[in-house]
Amino acid sequence: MLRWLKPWGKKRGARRSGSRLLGSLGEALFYAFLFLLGSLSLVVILTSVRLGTWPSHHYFPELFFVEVTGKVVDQRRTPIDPPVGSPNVQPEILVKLKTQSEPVWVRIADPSVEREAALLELGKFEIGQDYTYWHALGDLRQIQTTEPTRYRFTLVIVTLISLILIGASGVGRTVVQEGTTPERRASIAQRAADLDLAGGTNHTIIDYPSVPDDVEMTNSPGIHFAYRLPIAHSPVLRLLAAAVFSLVWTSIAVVFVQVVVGGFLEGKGEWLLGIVTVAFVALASWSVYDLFQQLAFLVGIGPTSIEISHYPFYPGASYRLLLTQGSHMDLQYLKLMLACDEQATYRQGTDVRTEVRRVREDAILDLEQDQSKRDSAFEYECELRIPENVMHSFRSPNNSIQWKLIVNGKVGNWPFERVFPIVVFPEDSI
Amino acid sequence: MDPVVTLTIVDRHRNYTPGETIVFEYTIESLQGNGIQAVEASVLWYTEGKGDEDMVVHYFERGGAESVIGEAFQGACRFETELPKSPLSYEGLIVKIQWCARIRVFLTSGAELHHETPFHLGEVPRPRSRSK
Repeated sequence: MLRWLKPWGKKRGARRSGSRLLGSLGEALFYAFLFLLGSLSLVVILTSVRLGTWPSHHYFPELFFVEVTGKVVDQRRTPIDPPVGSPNVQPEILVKLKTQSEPVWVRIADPSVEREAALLELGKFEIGQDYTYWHALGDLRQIQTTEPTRYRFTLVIVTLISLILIGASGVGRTVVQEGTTPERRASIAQRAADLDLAGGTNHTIIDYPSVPDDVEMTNSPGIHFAYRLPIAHSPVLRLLAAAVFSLVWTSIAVVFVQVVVGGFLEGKGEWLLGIVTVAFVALASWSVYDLFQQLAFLVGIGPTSIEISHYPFYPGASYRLLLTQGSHMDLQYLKLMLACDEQATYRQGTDVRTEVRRVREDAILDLEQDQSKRDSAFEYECELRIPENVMHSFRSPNNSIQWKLIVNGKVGNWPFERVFPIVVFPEDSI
Repeated sequence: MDPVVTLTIVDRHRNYTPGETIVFEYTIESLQGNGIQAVEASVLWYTEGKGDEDMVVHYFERGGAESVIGEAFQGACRFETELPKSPLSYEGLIVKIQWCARIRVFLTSGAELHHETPFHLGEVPRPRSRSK
């Protein structure tokens, strides 16, 4: 069966199924095109500015305006015939330029304005006084009282310089990538990273490469034990996000309701806008309900904290642990477990996917609690033993091994889960 | 016969401990008039499995022809490095960490020879399979 030649291979994440050389060549050509486009356009524009020819003269006439001074000798308000409802006066001043023998009429408001505004504008130019004007070179029809802005020209120049830089860096990167081995590139990148780390204070990253940063583990002292572990996702932040969303959405819905109700009261109601408003109000109502649910959830369940006797964590070592669960409602059950997850991130085409696989789960506490704990926080002290012969915590850009303590519980009718990430070091590192 | 490069570990054993010095030896055979432009020796780890590959080079050395000519033809060239404390070799369910040494020889003809020798850092057993 005849197959068409494919100019490029299907992307499979960072791995390319087609020719690597052709891919690099295409990439280099693309960036070279950007570089040439930017360079040639910049040269053409700057040359035309210098010579005063096309394209600058046509697209950026403001570059060729000249500054002149002149005396105001007369004023007038020219009535015009605008569309219904538009302003109908054009204020003008008669100016005697120092470079011209004949005076010229200059519009000082564009477009036309109302009569009162025209008087206000004319009041800025007293008869007999000298003012500064700008006009196109050799064309007094384009005379104006304000200095022409050059932001369009600046924007184009910045865009062209960006194209040149992107193109040059892209070609350079492609050439370097094609001319060096992956190990050499990684070595150069590693040396650069080491230079950055040399100024840092955390020795974990330097002494234990690829072990996650553990600064958060010890920066919060506990009450009963040495350290209080940080929580993965604070429920307060979720509550704050819900509050912001609810506030913004409800405000939008209120504006919609005001517009729609006002329209109906004036007899000019729009049914389509009304239907949209109903949807907005429904979502706003749900967001308020969700906000109060989360508030009740946070207050009802109360804070969860875990304190540990010492740190760092090593495989085979034991620690004292204190779990505290504050609650204003009945605690139905509470579980505490030590878990280890593998996490892999990969690209499928343009999608980025993450897969998590649990490789270990050890129960530490499994408690069925029927009695009420409304008045005091639940506390449970036990031994935490990190299993022997297990992999340490690990993190690289696309892969990681995450150890964590997980608290599962149910307060009232609300089940909840709170996660406390921990860093386990290699066994031989004590 | 085409030129061949081989890379072996001196005094090879099953697992290497963090901080241990590991010595590698490489030989280049059957050059038959081919000149050597450069040689790259590296010790690195890379990930395998479900996720996109990550690679970090622990040791890297690039030398010109003068670094091997005279030694490689006579016998073998050596390089050594002290192994880091982490990451340890690991064969998980969807994440695997593989340590290896690589040698790349660039010939004046434009051809490239390479050889890779894996080894184990640490002694972490495979985890039992369980789904989340």
